[in-house]
Amino acid sequence: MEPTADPALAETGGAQPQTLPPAFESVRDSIGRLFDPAKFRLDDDGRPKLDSMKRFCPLKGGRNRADGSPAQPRNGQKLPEPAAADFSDVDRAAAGAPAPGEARAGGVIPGGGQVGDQYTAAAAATVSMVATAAILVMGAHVKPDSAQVTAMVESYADCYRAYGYAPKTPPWLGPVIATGAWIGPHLRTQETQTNLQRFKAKVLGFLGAFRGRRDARAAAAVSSEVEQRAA
Amino acid sequence: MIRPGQEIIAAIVGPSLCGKTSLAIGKSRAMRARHGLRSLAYDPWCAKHNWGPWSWVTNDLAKFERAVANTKGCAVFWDESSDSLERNSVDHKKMFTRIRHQHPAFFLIAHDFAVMSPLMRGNLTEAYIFRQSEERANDWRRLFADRDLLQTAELEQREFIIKRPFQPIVRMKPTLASLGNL
Repeated sequence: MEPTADPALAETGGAQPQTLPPAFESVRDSIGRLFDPAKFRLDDDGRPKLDSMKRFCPLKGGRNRADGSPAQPRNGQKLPEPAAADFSDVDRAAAGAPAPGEARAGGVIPGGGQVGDQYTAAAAATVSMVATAAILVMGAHVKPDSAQVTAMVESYADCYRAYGYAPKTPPWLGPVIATGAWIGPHLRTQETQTNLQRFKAKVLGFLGAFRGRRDARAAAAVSSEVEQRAA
Repeated sequence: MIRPGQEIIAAIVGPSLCGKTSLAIGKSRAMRARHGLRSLAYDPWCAKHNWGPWSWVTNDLAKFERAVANTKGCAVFWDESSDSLERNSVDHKKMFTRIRHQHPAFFLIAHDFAVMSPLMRGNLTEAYIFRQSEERANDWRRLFADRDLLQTAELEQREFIIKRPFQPIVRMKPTLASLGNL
């Protein structure tokens, strides 16, 4: 028996359009997707085709998903490692330092504008030292939050920019203040004071013993000299 | 490559130990592999997580904000935002409203729907939603006007739903190895 010509088939280029019986309109697969005949296959019995994990099979074929996103790796397959990246520009941006080649000399750029980021860098260093010194003197509760630090850095930078002056602090000052801020609060505790006293007593004990032996040797030398002269 | 107008502003939301950071690291890998983007990440626990050699990671929020503000063309990840993001901060709002002019992808990792302000939620182009309470599932349903988001109250551990506006949900429970291919 020859198949009857169907005008609808001519529009689809001869392919049989997929029609979904009403019973499958609310069918979901194992990952919760509703069946969509525009995206998923039907099997030979006209039911939604399921794979071994009870998921709908995409119409597009292969292992790519119907929405075009790439396939998942097969069992045991590892994804290629993406290339490493250089972050020197990000490190400079995070530190607030000027980029290489950026103007560093004092003065205004002809035509207006600001001179690089040296003022911001100097402001950041100043705020860091001021905050650390304040914590050392007044305690950890005065530590500023990020918004307060940002506001202070901006105001110091504007001030330095207005005066055209970016102070350069000695390199050793920062570590001294930071170390002091760490150790300062601990000096005031009872345990530290007790241990300091014990350490002091030990050192003085060693010194005392050393001086005693030195004095004894000197006294012995003098008495032997006296005996020699008396003899 | 992410074209202008198709920038990603995404939220990864879920309770503790559901896999948010693992998913974020997988997305960072995918951004690098698929679009060639480096990643900038704020992660207070960066010593415990491996973001890969294509990522610049810091646990200093001020450094992270400066890096984001002064660079271009990266995928930005803000982890543990529940205790670091200020809903009403002008600078933090800019992360959601203006960041697409500098960086083509921004991912916020949070524990709850309410970590973001309504303005921030309104700018989302993607949401990766792990298991939610019924109340929060309803909040997500109202935000995206999609009843299927009520399924977020039925998700298993490490299972999540991807929701993009005007598109149906995608429910996934990928393996750890396949997270980088999402």
